Amino acid sequence: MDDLPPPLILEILSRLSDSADLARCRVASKALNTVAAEVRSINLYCSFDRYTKSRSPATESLVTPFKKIFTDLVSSSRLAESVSLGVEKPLRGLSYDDVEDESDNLHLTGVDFVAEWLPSVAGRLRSISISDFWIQSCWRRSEVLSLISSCCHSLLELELKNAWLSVDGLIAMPMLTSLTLEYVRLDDEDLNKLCQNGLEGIVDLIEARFMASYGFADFITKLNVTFAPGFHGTWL
Amino acid sequence: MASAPENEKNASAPEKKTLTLKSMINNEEFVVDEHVALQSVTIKNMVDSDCAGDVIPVPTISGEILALVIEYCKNHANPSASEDDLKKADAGIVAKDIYTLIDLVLAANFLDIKGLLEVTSQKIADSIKDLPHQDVREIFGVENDYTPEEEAAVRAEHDWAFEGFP
Repeated sequence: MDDLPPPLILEILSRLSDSADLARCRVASKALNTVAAEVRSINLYCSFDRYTKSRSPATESLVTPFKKIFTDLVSSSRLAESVSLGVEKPLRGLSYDDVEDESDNLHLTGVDFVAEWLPSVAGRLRSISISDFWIQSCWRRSEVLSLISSCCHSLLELELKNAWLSVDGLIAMPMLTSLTLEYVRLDDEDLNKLCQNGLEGIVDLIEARFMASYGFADFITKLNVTFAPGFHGTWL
Repeated sequence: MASAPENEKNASAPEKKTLTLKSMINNEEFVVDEHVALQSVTIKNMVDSDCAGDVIPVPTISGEILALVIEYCKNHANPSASEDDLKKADAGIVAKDIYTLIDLVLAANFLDIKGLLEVTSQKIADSIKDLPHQDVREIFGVENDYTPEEEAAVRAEHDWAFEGFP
């Protein structure tokens, strides 16, 4: 077998959907470690196993806290342009009645947590995706939109899921081409703000997708906005 | 300037132009419609600059791999193929063992066929997923070039990725 040239190795490593796989490649050899440092995306999802271990005093010490892993990954990355973090599927299905969980160790849209990692990479980020842990996020209103819009000036794509969001302090993101809000709770006044400020065309969509099953009249199951050219900057 | 070889047959009727690709590893030859072969930017450049003779020698790519490449190019040169058809066909082409995939990605890179490079790279990435790092070494053909101290340090830095990992 011919050895793969570094650009091809980078092409392959960039397609790993999980930064844990990439991390194991880095341990394999110096050469791979060097190439892996060039990968421009960070993708990290908390597994059910990691979550359950972190909840039990007996196993807690066996796993690194998820937020710490992510913060370390971002701070050691020189080139990240795209970050994607969240909880894995089995955790998404849990409802608030299933587990009692007062902790915020997986409240991923928490503004304190995001402020820990975002500023150092904000300027070059093109894409952010956060899929929060509903059990912890549904009763904590997050001002992450304000933080992201104030420091991510090159952001093209933003996706937020399973979170309670505030639009206080949200400013226009002129570069943004795609905004996805999925299973997101917005308070009435916030929703009005979002609608009044240039989202006219999609208000119908928002209203059509209200869902009351969580007891919020203001719950958006899915909002997918792709901005037309020329529409930039007017939406908020 | 070297003059291009001018030994093409003069066909009277307009016939489909073909190119012959020859694997220099096992001398296998493949006759391919020109528009199929031109999906390779490398071959296109050769043809455009009149550097291509009747037979285009392809170094370092075996006949087995070249056949896969041509199958890919044929599929994608078919204007009536739907996106779904192409996806299925691509999946069939990359449903191979890892060593074939490595040879295929090298071929796609040499011949400069972007789509094939992407689909093969993705398949290799999917195959690396959840593999122990010792296997990853083998796939990429790399040695463990860390000193024991360095390996321990880099392992400690990425220890989280081994938690719950067999």
